[in-house]
Amino acid sequence: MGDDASALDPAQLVAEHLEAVYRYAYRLTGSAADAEDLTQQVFLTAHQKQGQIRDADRTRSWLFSVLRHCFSKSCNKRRPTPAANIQLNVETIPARPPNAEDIDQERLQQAIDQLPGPYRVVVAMFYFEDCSYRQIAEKLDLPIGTVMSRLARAKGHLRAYLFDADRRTEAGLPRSVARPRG
Amino acid sequence: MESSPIRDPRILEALEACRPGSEDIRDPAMEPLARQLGVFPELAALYERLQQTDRAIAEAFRGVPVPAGLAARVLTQMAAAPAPLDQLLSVPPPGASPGIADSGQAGTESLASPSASAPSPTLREDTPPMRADRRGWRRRGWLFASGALVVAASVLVAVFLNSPKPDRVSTEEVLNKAIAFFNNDARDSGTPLGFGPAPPAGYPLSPALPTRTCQVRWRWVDGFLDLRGVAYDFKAPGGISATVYVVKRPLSGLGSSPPGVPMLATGMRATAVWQEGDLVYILVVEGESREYERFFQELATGPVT
Repeated sequence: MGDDASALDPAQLVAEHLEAVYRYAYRLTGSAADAEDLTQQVFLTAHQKQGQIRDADRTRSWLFSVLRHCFSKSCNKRRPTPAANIQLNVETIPARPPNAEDIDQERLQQAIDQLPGPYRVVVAMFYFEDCSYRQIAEKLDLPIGTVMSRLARAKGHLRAYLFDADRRTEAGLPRSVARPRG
Repeated sequence: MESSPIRDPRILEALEACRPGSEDIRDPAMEPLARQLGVFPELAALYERLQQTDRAIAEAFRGVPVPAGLAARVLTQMAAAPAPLDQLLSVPPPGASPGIADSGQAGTESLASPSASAPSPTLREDTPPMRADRRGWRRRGWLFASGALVVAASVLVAVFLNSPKPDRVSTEEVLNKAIAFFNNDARDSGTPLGFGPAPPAGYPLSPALPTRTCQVRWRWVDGFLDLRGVAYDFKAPGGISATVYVVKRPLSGLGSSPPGVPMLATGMRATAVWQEGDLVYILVVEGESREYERFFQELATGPVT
């Protein structure tokens, strides 16, 4: 059991996990101010409830689950976004896979921001936490079918927003046609 | 010859669920996808392109600059925060023998480093020496306070268990639970409306769901959102099946009628929830958004051709 007490030292906790927590928070909230608030909240919660951390090796995973919980709570205050407009779409997979540096960070965030909260969490767990669909289902206590459905639709939406313009340009269509909706 | 799987939503969802560079494809649940990949080269090419694209997106996902000074701000907040809960609880009563305190708190002590306890110095301060009789009184006082706390907690639990369930679940949780319940529900056991006993007056069917054009059965359901309620099973003229669950549960922020589009559509189930007075109606339609919309059209006008 990795109950390494030094991992719970506040300074060390922050030094080791702050960047990852902030980045995750930023991807979920879409704003630097909200991400900072959420990050503060996560570390305060960690400080208050450090007795819940039984295995220091899993501290980051625990912090992420606190983060998701805080974010979901803030999402629940709003009405859910109808899921009907997020379609499964593999046609958005680019013919020429991009490099990470080719991806416009601002557009990526805009695409994430357009997703309803629950879709955002699932796609962030997939890309950011590198969770499998089974782990996502387990951690969020959701049916596997729901996770797969959300994941596929959310990923399709991100790609459509990120690459549709390039795909259409390659196909000889005017770039403006591919501008994101809404 | 097998038809192309690229239009099959189940295969496409499985394709999307495989993390780049992982062994996810070997998961037994991915077996249909793995089989199709061996048969359809265009699907295999799509899989490869998706893996590469996901790798790039995952890397981009983590590319967020962190604001300068954030660590200092977070640490300042933590230092100003109250003491950790487990430390407050782990403070032994004055006069208690160190042996008892040590053995009782072994689990949490290993996690609370000395520096982590910095915000609660007053609780860690040494207390002045006390006379033996005062220590005895303090010990009894502590035991009495602990007993009172246990009694108060039991009363609170009893009150909670006997009161209506509070608004603890989110709308989305309700919708997901409705889908899970619907998937395991015996929907052919109800009494047809207009034949046999009438449904209970306390759980009427919503006027937003006219029954003129379709067959409807009602039945009691137990355990839906941990409550007893009534389910109305619809068979619309075009063949669409749906169930609306009616329960008494306080939920906030709901509309007063079913929305025109589902609030959640997933796994071939489209759902919505609304509230009329003290009743919550949760509708689950078999199918996706299209079936949900058709269901309402058929309720209003008969089969859509």
